[in-house]
Amino acid sequence: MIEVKNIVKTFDGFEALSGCSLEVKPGSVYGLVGPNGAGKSTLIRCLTGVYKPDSGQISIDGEPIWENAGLKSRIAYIPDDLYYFMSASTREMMNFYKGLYPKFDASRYEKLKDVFTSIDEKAPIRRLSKGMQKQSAFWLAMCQCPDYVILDEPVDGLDPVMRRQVWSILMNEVAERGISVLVSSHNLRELEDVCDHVGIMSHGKILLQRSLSDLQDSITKVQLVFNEIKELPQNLEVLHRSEVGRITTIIVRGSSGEVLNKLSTIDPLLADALPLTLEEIFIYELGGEDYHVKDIIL
Amino acid sequence: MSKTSFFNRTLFIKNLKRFWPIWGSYLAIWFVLMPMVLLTESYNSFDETVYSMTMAGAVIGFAYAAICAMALYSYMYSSKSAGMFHALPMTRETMFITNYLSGLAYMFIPNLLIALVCIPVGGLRGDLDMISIVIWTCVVCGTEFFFFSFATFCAQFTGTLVVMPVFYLIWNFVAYVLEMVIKTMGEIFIYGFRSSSAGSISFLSPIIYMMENYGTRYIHETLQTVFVGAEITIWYVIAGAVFAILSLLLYRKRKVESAGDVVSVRGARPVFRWCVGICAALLLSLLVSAIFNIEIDETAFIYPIMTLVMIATGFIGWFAAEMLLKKSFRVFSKKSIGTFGIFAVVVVLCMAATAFDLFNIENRIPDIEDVEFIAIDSTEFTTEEDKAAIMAYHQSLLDGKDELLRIVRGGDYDTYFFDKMSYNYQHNVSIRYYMKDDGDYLRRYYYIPVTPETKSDPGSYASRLNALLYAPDKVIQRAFGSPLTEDMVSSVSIDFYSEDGVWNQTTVSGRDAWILAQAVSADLVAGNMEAGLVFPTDYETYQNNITVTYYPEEAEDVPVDYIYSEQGYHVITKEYTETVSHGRSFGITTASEHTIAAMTQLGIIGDGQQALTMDQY
Repeated sequence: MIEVKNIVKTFDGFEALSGCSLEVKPGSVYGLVGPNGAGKSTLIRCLTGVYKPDSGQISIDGEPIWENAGLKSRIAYIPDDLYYFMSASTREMMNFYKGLYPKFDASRYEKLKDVFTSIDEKAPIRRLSKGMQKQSAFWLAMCQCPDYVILDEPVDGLDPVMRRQVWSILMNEVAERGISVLVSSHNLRELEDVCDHVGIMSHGKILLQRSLSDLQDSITKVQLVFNEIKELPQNLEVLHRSEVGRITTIIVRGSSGEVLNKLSTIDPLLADALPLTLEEIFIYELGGEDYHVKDIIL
Repeated sequence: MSKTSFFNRTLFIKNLKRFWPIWGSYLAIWFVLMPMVLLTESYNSFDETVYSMTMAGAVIGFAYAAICAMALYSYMYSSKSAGMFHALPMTRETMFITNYLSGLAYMFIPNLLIALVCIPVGGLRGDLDMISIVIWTCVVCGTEFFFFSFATFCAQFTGTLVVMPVFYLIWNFVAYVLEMVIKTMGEIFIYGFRSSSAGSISFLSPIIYMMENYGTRYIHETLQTVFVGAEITIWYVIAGAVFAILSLLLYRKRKVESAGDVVSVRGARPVFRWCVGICAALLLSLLVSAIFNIEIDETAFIYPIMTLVMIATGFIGWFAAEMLLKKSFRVFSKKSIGTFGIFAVVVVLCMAATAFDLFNIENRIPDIEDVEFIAIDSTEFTTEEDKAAIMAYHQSLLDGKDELLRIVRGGDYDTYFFDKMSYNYQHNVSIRYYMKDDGDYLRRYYYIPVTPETKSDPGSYASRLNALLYAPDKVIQRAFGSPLTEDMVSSVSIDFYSEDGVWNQTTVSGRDAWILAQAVSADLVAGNMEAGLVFPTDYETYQNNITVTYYPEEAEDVPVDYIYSEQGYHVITKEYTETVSHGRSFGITTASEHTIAAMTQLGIIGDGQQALTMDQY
C-alpha cells in the first residue's frame, strides 16, 4: 500500500504540495487527476523518492521511500519527461536495468518484442518518436516485474492501438500479480475505463479521493421538465444548472436515489438521472475551487 | 544489483563504457608522452624524462579531473536525468561512491598501464629506473586524486553543467589572483606599501603551487636526478580526502530540483553574491585605477573616489550574481537593494580603515627587538645602532608623507639617465625588515627626490640616505662581504683593450694583488668607483674593469649540490670545508685615484697599456 500523509513541498517559497494525503490500496489502479499546476508531478516525484518532502510521510508497505533502494527496486516509474543515456538503445537500457533491478526478467523482454514491434531495439532511443520512446519505456518497465507502477501521463503520444495494448498489459499485471498502479493523466475518459480509485488534486492538496463507483454515486446529473418554472428544493446542493427550452439540466451533489427523492417534492413532469463521466465529475468538483469553464466574450 | 553496499558494479561498468573517449584520450596522451618519448628520445636519461613528465602530470591531471567530473556528474544538471537517476534503486551514497570511483579509475588505470609499459621500454633503453616510475605513478595519481576530489566538490555547488568548470577554475586560482590584486591595490593606495613573500597563500592555488614546487635536482654525489616536491603531494592527497568526504555530505543533502540553478546549495547563495561582489569591486576598481592613473597623493581624495568606484563596481558584480541566481534580469527589488546596502557599508568601512590606517599597515615600523637585520637594496644593517638609524630614517619618510607625495607627484622628472650637472629624478628607497622569529620580511618602498639641491643639503632625504649607504663598513660589506685581508685576496685582473679593439687581461697575485685590492677598497670607500647609489657621479668610467678574486670570510649558502670554483667542478661532501673564491668586478673611473696610482706603481698601466675612457676608446 502507498500511503502519503500531509506532505508539504516548497520550491523557493512556492508551496507545490500543501498537506497532501492519499492512499493507494494494494492491487488497485489509482487515477490521480487535477488541473495544470495542481502538483501531480511533484507528488509523483516525492512518491518515487526523487524529491524529498519538506514535511510529512511517504511510505510504501510501511517503509519510507526516501533513500530506500530495496523499495525502489519494486517500483517502475515512467515520468512524463523521459531520459535515456545519449545513444543508448532499448537493448542497452535493458542490460542496464537488468543489472539494477533484481526481479528484472530478460525473457519477458524477449516476449514483449512481439507487442512493441515498431521499436527497433538497437536504435538509439533518443532518435525515436515521442510515442515510440514511451513504448520503449513501457517495455522496459514491464520487464522489471514491479510491485508498483507509477505513471505520469503514460499514454500521451501513443496511438490508439498502442494505448489499448499498454493498458491491457497493465491490467493483466494487476489481475495476475496484484500490482498497484498510480497513474496521473488528463485523459479522464481513458482513466475511467481502467481506474477503480480516483483522487482529485488541486493547489497541492487532494480534494477528494474515492473509489470510482462512490465518486460517480456522489454526484448526479438530472434532466427535468416542468409545466411551469419552479424553484428547486433548498436542500439540494446544486453544482450546475442549465436550461434548454423546457429541459432543465442540473448537476447535484448526492446519489441519484436521494436527489430524485428530493426533486419529487416539486413534482416535475420528467426527472431523469443520468450517469456522469469522470470528466464531468472533475469539472464540477473543481468548480468549487474556482476552476471551471468560464464564458468569455472576446 | 551489486551485493556491495556502497558500490554498484552495473553503474561502474556503464560509466566506463559511456565515457570511454575520456579515459581513452587520457591513455593516448600519456602513451605518447611517456613510452613513445622514452623510446625515441635519448638525450635525457630515463629518470630525467620521467620526472619531467611528473610535472606535466599535474597539469594534465588538473584538466582531466574537471572533464571527468563534468561527465560523471552531468546527470545532476538536468531535471530529466536527475529524476531518472534518483528513481533508480540506489542510495545516494552508492551512486556517489560509484561515480567517484569511476572518475578515479579513468585516470588511475591508465596511469598503471603506462607505468607497466614504461618498464620494458626502460629495459630496451638500458637505463630503466624503477624509482622514477614509482614516483611518477604516486605523484600523478596523488595530484589527480586531489584535483578530481576538488572537482567533485565544485560539482556539488552548482546545478548547471557549464558553471561547474567555471567554479573549478575560479576556485583553483582565486586565492592567487586575489592575493595579487589586494597586494597591487595596497601598493596603489597605501603609502609605501609593497607586498612581501611573507604570508603567500599560493598553496591555495594548487596547480600554481605544484608548478612552483615540483622540480628535479641532480645529485652529483650519486650521479642521480631526484624529484623534489613529492612531499607536498601527500598534503594534497589529505586535502583531496577531505574534499571527497565533504562532497558526499553535500550530495546527501542535495535537492534534485536544484538542477538548472547556478548555485544549488541554498546556504551558498549569499556567499556567492558576496564573493562575486567583492571580486568585481577589487578587479574592476584596479582596472579603473589603471585606466585613469589613480594613485595615492597628498590630498587623500583617492579614498572617497575609490570608495565610490568600488561601490559602483561591486554593484555590477553583486547584481550580476543576483541575475545568475534568479535567472532573471528583474532583480532590483527593495530587499536586494537593501542587502547591497550592507555591502556598500562594508566597502566604506574598509576604505575608511585603509584611509585612517586602522590596521597599522602604512605607519608600521617593527620593534627593533623583533628585527634580525634591515636591508636597503643590497646593503644590510645589522648592528643595533644601524637598525635604529634606519628606523629613524623610515619614520622621517612617514612623517614627510604629504610633502614627498606632493613633490613626487607634481615634479617633472627625468628618466634614469641624467645629466651629471643638472639632474632631477626620483630615487626609490626599498626598505626590508627581516624578522627574527620566522624569517619573514616586511617591505616598504618610497620615492625621494634627488637633485643637486638635495645633494648640497645634508638634511635632505637623499643626502641622509646617501650617508647611511656610504658608511665605510657598508661600502665594503656590499663589495666583499667583510673587510679584505691579505690572505683573503687570491688575484686581481684588469681588462685592457688595445687600439685595434682586441681585448686582453693582466692578472697579478700575491703582494701585488693585495696592493691593488687595498687601492680598490680605498676608492670604493671614497665613492670614486661605480655609479652612485643615490646621487650621480661626475666622473667618467674607463672601459677597463678590475676584478678582485678573494676568499670571503663566510661561505655563502649554496642552494644546490654542486658548485663551481676556480679549480672547476666540485662535489659537496660532508667533510668539504674549502671555501669558494669570489670574483668581484668594478668599473675604474677617472676619479679612482688610489687604483690608478697602484696600477701605475705596479707598471700595469703605462706606455704599453692604458686605461681608456669611452671617448678615447
